[in-house]
Amino acid sequence: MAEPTLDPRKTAVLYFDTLKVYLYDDQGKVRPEAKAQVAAAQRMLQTARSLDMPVVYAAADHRTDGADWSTAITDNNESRFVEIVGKRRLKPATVRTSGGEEVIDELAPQDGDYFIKKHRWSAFQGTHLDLSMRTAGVDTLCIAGGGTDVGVASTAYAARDRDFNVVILRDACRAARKEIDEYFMDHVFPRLGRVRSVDEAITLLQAGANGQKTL
Amino acid sequence: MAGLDPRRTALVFFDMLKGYHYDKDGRAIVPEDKGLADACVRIRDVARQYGIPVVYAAADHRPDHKDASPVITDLDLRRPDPAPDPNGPAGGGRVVHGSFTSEVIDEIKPAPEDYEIRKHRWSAFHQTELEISLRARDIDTIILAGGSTEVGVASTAYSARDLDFSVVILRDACHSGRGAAISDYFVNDVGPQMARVRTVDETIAMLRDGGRNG
Repeated sequence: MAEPTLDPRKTAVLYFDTLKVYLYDDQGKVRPEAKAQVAAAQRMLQTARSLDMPVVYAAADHRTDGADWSTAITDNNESRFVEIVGKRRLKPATVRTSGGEEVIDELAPQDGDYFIKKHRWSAFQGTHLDLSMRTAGVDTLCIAGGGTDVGVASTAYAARDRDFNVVILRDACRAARKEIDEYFMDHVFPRLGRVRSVDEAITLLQAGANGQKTL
Repeated sequence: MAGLDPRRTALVFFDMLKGYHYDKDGRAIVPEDKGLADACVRIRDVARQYGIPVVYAAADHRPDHKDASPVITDLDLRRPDPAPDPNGPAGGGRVVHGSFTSEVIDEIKPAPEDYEIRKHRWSAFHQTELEISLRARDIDTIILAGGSTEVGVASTAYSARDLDFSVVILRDACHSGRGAAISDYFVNDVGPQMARVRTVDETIAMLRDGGRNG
């Protein structure tokens, strides 16, 4: 079946938690295991800039006093639960003043970008992402970042239910383990959207920019 | 093991419908899903015993398809659905509006006091009354069963977690239309990050502890 191209006027690139705390080492350099992911994310950004596409950064934002931290009880992360503001809550990897909550320099935001401060996993939950995308005429989200099974997946499920087309940028996403990435890319995401490499997405966008409907 | 307070817990069955689990005539469950149905019955009976609200989240789509999801997926582009297995569940695992395929399986047939949530996308929370129904009675925890695990159960678990509900995923009462391996991977390798993953028996023990201590 011919594949629909991507119209750059209706497609946004969403970078999920591409933050220094997750992607830099102690010296402020990209961690070795994240280098390929960051390089792919950078190629996507260059194309997005050249085609004047909306660029969205969804980034964790948590109060320092713990009052807005998640209270859902889980099997994992037992050691990160603390009794604070009346409930047992999950201490986030980054809070407002802990440092490292900036987007990495390689994907530096510029004026006009969308900045979504998110307080749970999904970039839609309790944020203005849905409204911002609809008013901008965006119907498709290309998602990069991580973790694949955490925020990327949560945002992809939410986008699907809101009728946004989803393109998961396979080589620009990363989970803690390769096997988890493969599970989502092969078995979960193909059902809710398209899984494409950055280069494949760029080809679809350039064709769309040239007025081609299918490829 | 921490208990579950029955006064603050709800049981949510996701898409346990005849179209996915009954034979062609809609008369009986397909043999391979009997264990799944038994697990659902056991947790449902315990829920009734404790007065725990029982919720059935089930797909509801207009026959004219005007509310169908329009999103483009790889599955649609590359892999058109295979022809239905003549020995498989009714309609090849499809649910058709207004036919028996859209009914909850008789084994866990809803009672008048239960909650029936008609959902139009994957997540049982997406534009339904589920969240308000739970908050209105101070529920903070949902026990989740049904399938498919990596589709609706996963979507609902992600939503619940982000809405600050604690989730217990029932390991032996979840299933995937694409096989046990797909369901098990989600349950074992993804679930523990957002939920507690427990068997039906472990969950029953947690409710007993929570009921006694509460």
